[in-house]
Order: sequence, then structure tokens, then C-alpha cells
Amino acid sequence: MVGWIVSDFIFCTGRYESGDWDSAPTLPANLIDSVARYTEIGCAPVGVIVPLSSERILEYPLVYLTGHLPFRFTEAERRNVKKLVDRGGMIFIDDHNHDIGGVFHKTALEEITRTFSAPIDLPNTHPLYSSFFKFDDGPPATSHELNGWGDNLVHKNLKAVMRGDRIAVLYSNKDYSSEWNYHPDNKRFSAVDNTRFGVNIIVYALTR
Amino acid sequence: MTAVERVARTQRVLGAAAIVQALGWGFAATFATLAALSFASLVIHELDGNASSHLNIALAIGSVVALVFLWRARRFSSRDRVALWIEERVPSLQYSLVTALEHRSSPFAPGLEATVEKADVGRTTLASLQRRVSWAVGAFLVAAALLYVSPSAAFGRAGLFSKLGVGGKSPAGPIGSKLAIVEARVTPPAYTNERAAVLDDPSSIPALVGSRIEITGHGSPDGMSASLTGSSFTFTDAGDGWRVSMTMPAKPAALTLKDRQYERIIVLDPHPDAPPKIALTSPLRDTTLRVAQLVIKLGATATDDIGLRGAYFEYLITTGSGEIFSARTVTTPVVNFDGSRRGSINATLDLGSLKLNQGDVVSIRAIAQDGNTLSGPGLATSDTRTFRIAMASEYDSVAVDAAAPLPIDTTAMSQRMLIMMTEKLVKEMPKITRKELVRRSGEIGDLEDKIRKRVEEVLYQLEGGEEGAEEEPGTPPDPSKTLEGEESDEVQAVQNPDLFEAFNELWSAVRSLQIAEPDSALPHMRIALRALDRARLANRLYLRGMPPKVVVDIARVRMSGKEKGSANVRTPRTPQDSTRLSLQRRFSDAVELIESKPADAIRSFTLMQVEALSLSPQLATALGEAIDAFRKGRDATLPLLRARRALAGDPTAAPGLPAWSGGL
Repeated sequence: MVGWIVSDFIFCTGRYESGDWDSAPTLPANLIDSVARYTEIGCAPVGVIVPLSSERILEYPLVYLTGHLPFRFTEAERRNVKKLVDRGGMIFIDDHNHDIGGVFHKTALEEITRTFSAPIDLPNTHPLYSSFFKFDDGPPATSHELNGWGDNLVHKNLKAVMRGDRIAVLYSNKDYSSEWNYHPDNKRFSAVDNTRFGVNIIVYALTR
Repeated sequence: MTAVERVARTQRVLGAAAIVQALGWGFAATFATLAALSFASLVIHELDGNASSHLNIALAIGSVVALVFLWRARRFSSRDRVALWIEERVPSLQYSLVTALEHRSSPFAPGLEATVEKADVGRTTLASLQRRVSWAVGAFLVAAALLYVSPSAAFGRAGLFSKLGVGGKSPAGPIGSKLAIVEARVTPPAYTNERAAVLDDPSSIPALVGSRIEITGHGSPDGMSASLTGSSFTFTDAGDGWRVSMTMPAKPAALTLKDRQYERIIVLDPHPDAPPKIALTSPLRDTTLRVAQLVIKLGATATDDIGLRGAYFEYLITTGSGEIFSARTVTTPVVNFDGSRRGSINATLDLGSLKLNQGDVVSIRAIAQDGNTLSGPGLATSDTRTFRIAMASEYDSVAVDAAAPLPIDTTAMSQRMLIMMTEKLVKEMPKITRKELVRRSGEIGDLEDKIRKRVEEVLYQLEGGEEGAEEEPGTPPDPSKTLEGEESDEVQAVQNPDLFEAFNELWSAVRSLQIAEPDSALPHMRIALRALDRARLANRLYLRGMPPKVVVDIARVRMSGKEKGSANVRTPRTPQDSTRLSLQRRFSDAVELIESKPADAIRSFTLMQVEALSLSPQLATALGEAIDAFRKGRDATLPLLRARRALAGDPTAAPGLPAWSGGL
């Protein structure tokens, strides 16, 4: 019998040509720290940054994208992300602006619609919210939402492009990129770790 | 007419009568059997829907009956037996007919002929046959009448007793299924400006989403129903038949038509109105400008499968930096395409009119709308081109001011000059005095030493050393020395072996020049020049955008020391193509049903076709062909093979021998 060759989880940040893809540089380390802290999933101690235009992106089950500026894919990037999703991968896109009137939100939704299909509101009872930690009220609110930054809205739902019953593209307008963008050593100052939902996203991506 | 001729004529009449009688009883038996089977099918549903087998059974019985009658009439092939048959019915002949036949040359023959002539043989024959033929004709008529009133479809209309199957509510309509022959009229949405199409007896109806579909057939609408994904439709009387109408749904669906115990499934194959496409043909690439003074020609080409309504350009102007941005949107007037399938738009944008500041970004794209008034309009956006106004601090990327030559460039130029001076000195060495040689060589050596010191400064700046610190030649810069505390691997990234080589060669050249040996200094000077050139032409490194590297100490986070954690056994993922696997199973089950329950098999194939329309058009086409073949009694093997191939995918070759071959 031939066994599976299982490699450690490597957090992948996608680098795209347009916009500021690197606006949350410490987020990967923070989520890696959380995955190591709460789960037994084998994970690499550092994340990788892979151009979306490279086929190397297909090696990663979860690709994280963020930014503030107008967001668009080049033809090669669009081809690769479609291939990634078709092969069972998941893309997590977070609006670093937390602003539904912002350029990232507008252009990212257009690009997602053009590349995949129009995203739907993800129900707050979706398995994503119970894949590891349980979030009864859906996606946790961020401090940026609560203090009125951006559009002064608390967004009730995340959006998603589905492939069957699986989330293929998860889109957040809640600015988790700001919420989770700090050195993991500073996590000890928080009463409740706000990156727990990030663990859910990673566990969901690895198990569905 | 002689006796022989009379017998021959009677023989012909009897033969014809026997054929008529056999045919009459044969057809009567056939019709009666058909009528009996159709009545029986009202009670025994297993007998229903198999008209060809009913006909075969009835024809067999009718043929047997006809043959029995013909067999019984075989005696009329003998003339003697015909004569005896006549004697039997005309006793007054006193066997004179038989005798006349046997003794035609006898001297009593004329008397016998006279006796025969007196008897009215023809009339007697007809009288005898009348009753027999009448029974046969009567049986034929009775059987035909019975068949006429039976539920059989033999006369193309419902029999008087066909109402037995539906509680007596349908006095008129086709005998059997009213769904056997249907017609579909497809009217596309008005915005397409396309004509309606008529499909005869379709098993699937392809049409644009939102099209009006009207299905008609023969017979009364009573007792009929139609359902489509949970919705039911009302049948109306179309004068000469029934009619049901619906709108083409957005997703493939199975329309189930029912007439009493009969059922027919028609696949609705929706073709969505594809959104338009638009491509920005000008400008072709992004641009960064120092000053917002540029007139841009814009061009875009749009296409649509049905018709375009219009297109326009949109400018998104983004201002700000960091996390604070503001944006405004400007659109050009819509260019109307009046439903044409292809169009292009052009415009001119003067960036100066947008009052842009440093750091502003103008994103330009083209947007097209199609003429879909039903579920649209469909929108298409082109790729975006950006025009960015550079910040004043970005001169390295927009390089507009001439910068001073870099230290390496000046040293290379100086080195080239010193080599020329040294070569000249070497040429003049035989002509000048030793004192003059020492003086001139020493001067060149001093200049060379200055170059060495400049190279040393550049080298130490790159390597992070302190200015002015002297190093002995051949001593490499210490790689552990860092730039403001950065890690040693960062130092490795900027180490410059070319400069280091030049530095060492300059040392050797200075030493030779200062002891008045310019000829031995020249090789070192030339090597140093080549090394300086390589360093000068080397690509520059831009470290901008590199995020800080944070390495998570997994073992520390897990408080597990140096032991490696082991991951839980995780539930395997659901196969991506579970729908296809399900279809494969259902396909195999349906194939098994073809022999025993063909109607169920067709129903299963039809429902699979509905699902396959979105999953695999190739499979849907093959299944459609198979269903048509079944309905029309053709061989469905080939389309079913294509369907199986579409489900299973193309065969793949694996390298090496299979395990059962005993090979490696």
C-alpha cells in the first residue's frame, strides 16, 4: 500500500501585480502562531510569498490576498487562481480598507465576479464558523468595525464563491488584515485571541 | 357448356370463396385479439404501452385461423372432389356429372351432358357458399366494430371504452397516450428580435432563458397535468387538441407531462444570455507620469452573443496614501449600439482636466451593457489601465533629473586614464633616466592609491564597515559585520566580489608603481579596471516592499520543546466530482433496465440528461441521442457508448505493466 506524503501547512500570501499586496506583512506569522498554538496541524514556521502569476501557487491549499488599492488580476494571475480553485484550493481575500465604498472592495468584487462568479452572502451558520472554534454569530467583528473606521458598518456576513458545498473564494470586508497584522509575541496582551477565526479559515481550507 | 367446364367454373368459385372465408375469419380473429388485449390492458397495466407486441400476437392468431380455413378448403383442388361436392348438393344429377367427367368418350356422354345441363349448378353453388361467406364477413365486421370501440389506438382515436381507464371523463382523444405526438413552439424573448421556432416531437427543448414555450398535442386536455421543478401548469383546450405553456427556466429542468397513466418527460435545455465582452484596445499598458499633462486616446471593442445596448468608459480617480484613500468616479456618455452584436467606442481623456496631484492614480476601464431586458442588462468590464502621478520622492523610478556619477563610475574612468599614463611611461622607459622613472611612476602610484581608497570606501559602505578604517590587502570584509543590526544573511545579499577583487588588484598595482616597476603594475591595473566595470554594470538591488521576516518558533508556541507534534487524522475531503460519480452509478442502473423496463430506462436517461446539461454537454448530447433512438426504435448502442465515455473520461495510459501481468 502506498501511503500519502503529507507536508506541513505553509501559509501562502499571494502577490499580485496591481495594488499593495504586502500591506499586512505580519499577519501570516500571527496566523501560523495561532495554528501552532491551538491545533496539531504540522505547519512551517514562516509563510511564503508567491506570485499569483506563477504556477507555484497551485502548491498551496490556501492563498491569502489583501490590499487597499484597486485590485485586478492579470491574465496569468486569473488563469492560475481559477486553476487553483478548480483543483480544490481556497482563496481568502480581505479588504484592508474596511470600506464598502472603497476602491479595493469595488474592484475586488468585480474581479471575483469576472474570474469566478458573483459571491453570495455566506450564512452565519456555515461550517466555516464551527470548523475549529465555534462562532455562533458568524464572523467575529473587528475593532476597526466597532470603532467606526472605514464605512462605519459592522458587516453581518462574509461573502463567498461556492464550488458545490465548498467555499472556493472567501471574501471579507471586515479588515481582518488590520486586526491580525501584529507580531505574534504581542498576542499575550489580549484577553481573547482575535486570530481564532483565522484558525477556522485555515482548518476549513485544509479539511474541505 | 360441357360438364367439365361447369366443374372447372365451380372449382374457381369455391377457391375464391375459400380465400374470402379464410381472410374474413383471419382478420376477424386479428381484430378480436387486438380488442381483447386493449380491454385487458385497462385492468392489467403491464400489458399497456406495448403496441407492437399486441399487434404481433393478433397477427399470429389471425394467420393461424386463416390457414386453418385454407387447409380445410384443400379438397377443392381436385376436380373430382368438386364434382362430388356438386352431386352432394344437387341430388337430381344422379351422379351423371361424375360419370360424364369419368367417361367423356362414352356413347352415353351426350345424354349425361344433357342431364347436367338441366341442373342449375351455378345457382346451387352460390346458395351454398352464401351462408359460409356471410358468416366470415359478419365475423370480420363484428371484430372490426369491437376493435373500433376498444381503447386500442388502431383507429387513431379513443374508443368508446377508453374512458374506462380514466373514470369515464374523456369521451374524446387519442386512444392510448395523448403524449405520443407533441409539438413545441419556442418564442425567444422580445429583446432578441428572433423568430419563433417549432420543434416536432422533441425529447429536449433548447432555448434561451426566458423564452416562451408552448407545447401542443392531440386530444382533450382533461386528465392531463404538467410539472416542472415543483410548479404545475394548466392545460388549455386548443380547439383541435391540448396546449400547455411555460417560460424557459434559468437552469436545466425536466418537464413531466402526464396523461392518465401515461407520462412523458421533456428536457428543458436553457441557454443563458451570455454577458457581453469588452476589451480595452487603447491604452495598452499602465504608465507613471511625473506631471499630469497627457492626452490619452481611449478605445475599446465590445461583443455580445445577442445584441449590445451600449458602452462607455469609466475613470476611477484614487487619491491618498497609507490607509486613507478617497475615490471619485467619472463616466463618459453611453454610446448606443442599437442591438448590434459588435461595436467599438473611442474617447479622449485629458489628464490635465482631472486636476490630479502627486500620488493620484487614474484607473480607466470600459464597460459594456447588452440588451437583455429580461434578466439583465448583462454587464462587462474590461481590464483596467492605471495612470499614476509620481510622488516627488520617487525619482529612482521616474528618473527625470540627471544624477551625479556614482563613485564606482568615476573610479573606473580614473583607472582607465591611469592605465594609459602607465602604458605611455612603459614605452618611454628606455629613453628616460632612472630618477625621472621613479618620479613619474611614484606620481601614478599616488593617484592609483587614491582610487584604491575610494574603492575601499565604497566597499566598506556596502559591507557596513567604518570609513577610513584601513585593511590589509587580501583581508576580506568581515561578513558578520551588519547594517544596523540586521541579520548576517542580509549582508550576504549585498556582498560585492567584483569590488573586492578590484581592491586587491589596486593594492598590487600601487605597490609596483611605488617601486618604479610600471610594467609589472599594468596587469594588475587592467584586472582592476575589468572588475570595476563589472561592479559598475551590476544590477542594483531594490529592497523596497520586502516585508519583515517573522519566524514563528513552533516548538515554543506549542510548549513542546524539541519534540515534533503530530497532526490528527483528518477526514478525507469529499471527492470533487461526486456528481459525476453519482451519474455513473445511475447510468449503469439505467442500462440494466433497458431490457426489462425500457420506459423506466428512458425516464432515467432523461432525468440524467437534465443534470448533465450543466455538468457535461457532451454527455447530455449523447443521452439525448440515445433517448431519441429508443423512442424511434433505433439502435441506441453507439450513443450509449458515447455517454459512458463522456462519464468515465478518456482512458489514460499508465507507464509500466499492470500488476496482473507478473511484470515489474
